[in-house]
Amino acid sequence: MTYPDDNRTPRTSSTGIKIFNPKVKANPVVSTIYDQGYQPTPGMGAGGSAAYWERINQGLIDRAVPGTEPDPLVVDTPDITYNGISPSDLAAILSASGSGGSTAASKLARDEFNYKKQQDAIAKAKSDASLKAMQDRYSTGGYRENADALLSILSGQETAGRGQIKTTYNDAIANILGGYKQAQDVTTQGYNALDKYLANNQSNPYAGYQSQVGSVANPMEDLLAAYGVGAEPVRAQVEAEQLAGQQGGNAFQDLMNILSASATRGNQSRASESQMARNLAGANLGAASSAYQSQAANSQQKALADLLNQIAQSQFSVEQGVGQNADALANAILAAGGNATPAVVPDAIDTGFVPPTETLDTSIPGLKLSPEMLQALMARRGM
Amino acid sequence: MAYNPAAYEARRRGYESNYAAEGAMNAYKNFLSQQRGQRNITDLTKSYQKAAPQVVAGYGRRNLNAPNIRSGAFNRGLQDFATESVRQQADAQRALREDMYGYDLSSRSAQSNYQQQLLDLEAEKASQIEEDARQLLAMRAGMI
Repeated sequence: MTYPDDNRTPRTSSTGIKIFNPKVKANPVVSTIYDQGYQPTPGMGAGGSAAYWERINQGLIDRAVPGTEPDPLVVDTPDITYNGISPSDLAAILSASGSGGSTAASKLARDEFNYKKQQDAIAKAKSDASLKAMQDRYSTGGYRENADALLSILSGQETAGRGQIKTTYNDAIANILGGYKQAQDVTTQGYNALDKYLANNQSNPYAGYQSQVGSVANPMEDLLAAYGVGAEPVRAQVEAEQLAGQQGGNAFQDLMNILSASATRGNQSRASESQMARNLAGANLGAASSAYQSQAANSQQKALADLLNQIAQSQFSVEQGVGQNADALANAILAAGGNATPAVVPDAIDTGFVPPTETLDTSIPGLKLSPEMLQALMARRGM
Repeated sequence: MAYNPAAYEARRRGYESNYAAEGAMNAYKNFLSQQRGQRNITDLTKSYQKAAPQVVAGYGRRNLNAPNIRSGAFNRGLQDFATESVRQQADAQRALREDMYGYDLSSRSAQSNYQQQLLDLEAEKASQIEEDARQLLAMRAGMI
């Protein structure tokens, strides 16, 4: 394209970019942005005659007609944009401002720029507000709200569980003690009945037996006397038979006495056995009661241990979730370009962990951490 | 097995019935034995009383005994006869008495057994009550 009063001829550079040589004619100076289709505002820029500007405008109008515009200036530049505005657009906008010679197109471009700037400001404000909200939530431990509620529920469950276990244990002990007394009473009644029966039935069938020894007589006493025969030999036999009968009677009496003594000892033994059985029954009941109480105590301990274990596992899961939430929040803050300051934990939980006193060199060769990044990482680790 | 008074009462009645039957049988045997032993003694006495004149007459036929004759053989024979009578009657009486001893022993043994059975029954009742009390305690403790 050539201008009538302009002896400049665009030439193609070695890079293929058509440029004007500003040294050909010093006035007017036409910036290459004019070739981009931008119409400068009258009164601004380098000045010039009215005819000059008329030609310029005409040239712009010509380029607006399809098929008459000159070859577009091909600039092989990187695609660098800011919020969708290319550097050339930005330059045109900046050049148009303040010249006082705005046209509808330039005003539209300015408004567009202002709108974009406003949108950028709004977006930045939103982003800043979001970042600040995340930082506040992180620094105040707000991400623990749900976890604290869960921990409170767990604490309530633990309290209720402990109470229930205690109640169950107390009921078991009361039942055992009540059962022990009842069993003791029943056992005592049973052995009292036995003792009463033994006392009332101490009879000994063999006691007081007297063996009967019949007397032996001489039935021929009168006959011997009638014939004047002496009865001495017969009396001797009578005495012998009497003695034999007496000996037999005594032997049987001895047998009965032995049986009687045995029966007496049996009765005494039964009384002793009853007393022994009564004592043993009491000891057995006492031992059983103690064993049951021990089992109840063991069951209570086991139930408490199970409860505490479950609560601890649940607390661990909740705290694990809290840690994950904190990590995610810290990552989000870092990704948004903010700093994650350490969270303020309301009530520090004593986990028994003692940090090592000596400093370990944990740096990774070649990895450079900014102070902010380092601070964020330390905050995530609660250090 | 839990304590069941009816079962114990049934067993007690069984013991009592057995004891009564055994005692009655023993008493009846005793009665028969006494009758038989007494009859033997009576028969023995009668037989000696009947034999005495024949013994005296036998010595008379052999002229060993007469109103004016007193031989040593007759005296000795009559003494032996009387002695044998005493011995046999004493034996019979002793046998009868020993039978009575046996019945007395059986009777008292039966009574003793019956009493021991009742005592065992009462001890068993007390033991069963003790066992039931232990079960009761276990139930109250929730172990059953």
